Amino acid sequence: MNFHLTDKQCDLRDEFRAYFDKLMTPELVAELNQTTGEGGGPLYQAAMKKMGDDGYIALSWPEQFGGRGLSALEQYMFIEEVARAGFPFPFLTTESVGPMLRDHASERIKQEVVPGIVAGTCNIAIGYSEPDAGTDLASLKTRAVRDGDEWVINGQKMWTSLCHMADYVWLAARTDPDAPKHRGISMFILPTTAEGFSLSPVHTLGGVRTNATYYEDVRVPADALVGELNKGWKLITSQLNRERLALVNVGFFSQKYNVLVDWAQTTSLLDGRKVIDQPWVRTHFARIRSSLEALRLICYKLAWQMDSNELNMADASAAKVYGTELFVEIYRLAGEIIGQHSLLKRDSEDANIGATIENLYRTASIITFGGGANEVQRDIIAAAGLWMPIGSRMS
Amino acid sequence: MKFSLTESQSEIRQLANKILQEQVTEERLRSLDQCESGERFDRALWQQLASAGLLGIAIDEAHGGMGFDYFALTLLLEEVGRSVAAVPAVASLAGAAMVLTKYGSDTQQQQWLPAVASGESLLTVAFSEAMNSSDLTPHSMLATPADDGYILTGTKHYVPYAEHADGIIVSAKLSDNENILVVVEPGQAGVSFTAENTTTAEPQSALNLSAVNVPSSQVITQGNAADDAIQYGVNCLVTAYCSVQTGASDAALRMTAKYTSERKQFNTVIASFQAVAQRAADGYIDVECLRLCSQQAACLLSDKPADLDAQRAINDAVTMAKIWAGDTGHRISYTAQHLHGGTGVDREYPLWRFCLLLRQMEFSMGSSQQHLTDLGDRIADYSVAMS
Ligand SMILES: Cc1cc2nc3c(=O)[nH]c(=O)nc-3n(C[C@H](O)[C@H](O)[C@H](O)COP(=O)(O)OP(=O)(O)OC[C@H]3O[C@@H](n4cnc5c(N)ncnc54)[C@H](O)[C@@H]3O)c2cc1C
Repeated sequence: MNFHLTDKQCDLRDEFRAYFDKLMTPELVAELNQTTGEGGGPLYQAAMKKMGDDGYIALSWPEQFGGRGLSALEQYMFIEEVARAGFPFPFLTTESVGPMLRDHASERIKQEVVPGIVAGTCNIAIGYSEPDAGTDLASLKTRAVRDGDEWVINGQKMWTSLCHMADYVWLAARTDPDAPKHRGISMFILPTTAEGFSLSPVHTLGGVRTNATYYEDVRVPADALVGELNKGWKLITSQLNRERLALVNVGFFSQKYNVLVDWAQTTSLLDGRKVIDQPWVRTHFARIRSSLEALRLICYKLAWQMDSNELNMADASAAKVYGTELFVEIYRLAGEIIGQHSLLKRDSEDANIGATIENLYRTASIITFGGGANEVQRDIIAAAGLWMPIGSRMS
Repeated sequence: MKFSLTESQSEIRQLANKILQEQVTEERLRSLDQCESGERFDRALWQQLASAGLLGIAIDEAHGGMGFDYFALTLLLEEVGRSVAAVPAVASLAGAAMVLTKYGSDTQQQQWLPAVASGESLLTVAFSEAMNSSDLTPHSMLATPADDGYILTGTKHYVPYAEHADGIIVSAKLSDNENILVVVEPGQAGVSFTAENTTTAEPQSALNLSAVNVPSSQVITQGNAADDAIQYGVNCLVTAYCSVQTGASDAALRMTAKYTSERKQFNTVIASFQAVAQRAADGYIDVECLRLCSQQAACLLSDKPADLDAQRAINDAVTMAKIWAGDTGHRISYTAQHLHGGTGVDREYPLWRFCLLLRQMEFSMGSSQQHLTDLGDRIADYSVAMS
């Protein structure tokens, strides 16, 4: 057992950190702040292209596909730095959709789509959820029917984020309505320029825009099917553990913790004491710090398990539940430390560090049900980690 | 970063697990429950552990031990927690022997360590005083210089197995800015005990020293080195409690998972109720957090700190582990009892001893709140930054 990073890993961290320090110009930060941190603006697009040019997008991919073949642990460290810098990197595209296209798509799609992903010029939206298929994703109803050498797609997706800026939708559709629900789903890649495709915006509490997307007799060529017919569920779930790990990366708060401590050490109260001289503030910080430490170790252990092929399903779900609920709690504690200033948005003239917390609070509410509802994760922990018979609720 | 055990570490864990799971039967625990107060010490088991070499895991080979590090010792401690064995492993092995190994003179090491490894002698540690906080700096145990060595007067509390020990490591205050660390032998003139009956019935006592003459041969360290040694000893003890707590929490949780998977109400096993499964799952997360933080503390304690930052990283890791030990212990104990219903508190069923142990570990050497307070003070001082 060893809790230190190797020299090589430290070098890698330094390299990533230096890279993002340079990438995150004040202008880019300002643009990102205007878009609730979701990206999409011209400077963001330029930064993605630069990352592509510098070979920084598909780092975890094998070298022959333009990557550096990072291990899961190194990849985790990369995401830690991305998160620390606050750059809205499209993890799902590069870590989940991209590799699936690279490994399972037709030659044409490989040629057409994959290079753009690696270059940072191609945006892909994820079309899994539907109005009636959320946590129970496998009950999705969007249909794809074969007609000659085309697929005809009909249905509606919900929460298709970033789709208004996307070139493609990575779409889950039912191809065999008579098969058991997990065995009749296939995956497609569908250009957002296709006829019959449309979308309408959905505005969320946090200010982030997402979309409802509609598919009316949308026709795509036969080779837009990715992977085997009716084996889509396996593709959807194949990268879930990496996705969960990316979702709860400790990098989302580690630097913010440092900045917040510094603020509390240097900011005076009216009576001359510093913010951090209040005993309850110290306890809040101690809670935040000791909880983050556990998250850090959970994530590193999980990444290490992935690399040594010892991945424990219960541990992946434990990371997801613990991390998401911790973030929600930490944003509250941090808000309490800052006080009412944590209600001021970034565009307020006298906004301070509280604006970060204001923003985080508004956008954190989705993590406990997104990426696999925490109840389902707890069921998985009970079943896979404690061998409890949880019965039919899991199907 | 590496989260697996080496081959020899795995062997230690397996050996400890085998002996403790085989020997610490419900029957044996019940007979120990009948002991007079202050006598709940499984000496036969202690000797078995000695014969297997397990008392010498972290004692140098030159002194008859296996020569592994502190981390390897915590593997045994976790198994002690998992089996609720009534043995003084924390005090004698993780506390006293570690301090002597690092700070004792050759003569002191020669005098004590081989006998600790063989089980002939038992050592314990007396750091706690009434109201001294979790840093365990001595305040009321006072030392004054004598012709040879020092005269010690004062009272220590909660000294584990004090009345069974052959040597007691005692910290004392020499002046406002100087402490010393000595070994007191119970037979010395002026030494007396007041039994303290604890929640788990582990033997503990207050140690009263009344002008006890401690010759210089019994002094371990003084001055700055004494502060380092006290801190090291406290870190080793606190982390040891965390390891015991990890084993005990894990065992109580798994016992609960098993019980709820068999117990039926409303014609179905109660584990199939989502509320039951979810509460157990929260326990799983808690135990994992505790395990990782404890393992990290134990690993860092086995390193030689290169500089002040490294020393701080050790102290902080230990403090954070103990915060988890307190919180996890508390939550697991009540989850386990609650999900068992009445069976959980029935002394015919084994859970109750785990719950008492979890409570005892939670409050030993600093509750979660005390350690949070310490950590908060350090954050104010040097940030305890996230890398
Ligand atoms: C801002 C935002 C962006 C999103 N982006 C995307 C995207 O880009 N692409 C995409 O495909 N999807 C996206 N989603 C959808 C997201 O994945 C779903 O919201 C999520 O899967 C939950 O589904 P639901 O909202 O229908 O909630 P439901 O499935 O209705 O769940 C509601 C609650 O019911 C409870 N529940 C459900 N099942 C169980 C169970 N088995 N046991 C116990 N309790 C249960 C849980 O408390 C759960 O939180 C996004 C959502 C949001 C809000």
